[in-house]
Amino acid sequence: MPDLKVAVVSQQAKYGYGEPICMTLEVRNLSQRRLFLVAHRAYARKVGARGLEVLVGQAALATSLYYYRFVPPDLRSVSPKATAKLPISVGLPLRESLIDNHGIYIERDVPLDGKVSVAVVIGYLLTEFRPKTNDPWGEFVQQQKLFDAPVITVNLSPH
Amino acid sequence: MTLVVNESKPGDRDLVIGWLREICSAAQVNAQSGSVNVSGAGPFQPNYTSGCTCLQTIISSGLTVTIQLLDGPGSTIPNTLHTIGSTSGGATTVTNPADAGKEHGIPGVGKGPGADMTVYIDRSNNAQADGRTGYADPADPKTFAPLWLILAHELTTGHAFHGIQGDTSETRNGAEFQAITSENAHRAEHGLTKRTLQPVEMPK
Repeated sequence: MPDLKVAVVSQQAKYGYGEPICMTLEVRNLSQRRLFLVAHRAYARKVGARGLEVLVGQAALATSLYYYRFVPPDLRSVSPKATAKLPISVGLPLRESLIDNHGIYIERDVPLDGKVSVAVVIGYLLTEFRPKTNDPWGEFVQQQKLFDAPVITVNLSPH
Repeated sequence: MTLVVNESKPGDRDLVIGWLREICSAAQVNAQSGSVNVSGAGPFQPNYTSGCTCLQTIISSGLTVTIQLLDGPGSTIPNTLHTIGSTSGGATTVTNPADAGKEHGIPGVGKGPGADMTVYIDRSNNAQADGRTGYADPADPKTFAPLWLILAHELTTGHAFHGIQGDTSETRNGAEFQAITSENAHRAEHGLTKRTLQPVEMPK
């Protein structure tokens, strides 16, 4: 039996170029215990030609990336059998960055349009977060459970 | 090869040299090439030296460490999904993603080959729309960590130094132990409160 039942509701079926995708996540706690949803941290990336993956949770550190300090995301407590509504918006176009051959940092748009599948993944914890090591980022990700919400489809206008 | 400061925007090298002189007062940056050396002529007042040996080791190594400034907390760290704000203003990674893993030691053998490393720092110091700036100091979250200290954590005996040496701890807990230990040495020289360190069993 999963801990969560999630509905993803997009405010619109079609979005103009540059409009953020606005969604509400209706998250029901099916378990017998209090759960702690990651409420204020999200990542979005293009997957394949027409896919958008949205993690409402804490992403694991990229390989061979080291950090100065980790600030844990805010958690929203959800009682057994209760439902939480999380509004999220994904700013578009997505952006990616690189360092060019002259050492210049460049950000550029990631094109994404047409009939796009939006796969939302929700992060949650079974207990409040109390780090014990020098690597709280890793601890958080280790304790975080992930739930795949049903995929929805939206239409994104081209530039 | 060297330690180099990229000039993505005019003034970046001036900013970084100011931070480096909090780590090693003799640090200088070549205005044209961005190369760093530690042969500035003193006397310096105050004279910070805690990072001089480490900087010289980086400069003398066969690999390159690059210091790259990013625009603001929302700037993404290249080749990752993470913003520089999410790492509290400082991050270090292998420069070439194909070199991932070379920064680690080899268990039972010793040092690995090492890799070119890039240190990213938020030049805006966490600038917000309402004009506020600053990243909370992990040792005292009511105050802000200076950017030079964030750079020190990433650079000197921190992540980049260990990355080029090929002796970054295999565990992230160990890697942070290495960098926080270094950061605390710089904190001590400046009379700042030290960060809490959790003990780590390091591989032999």
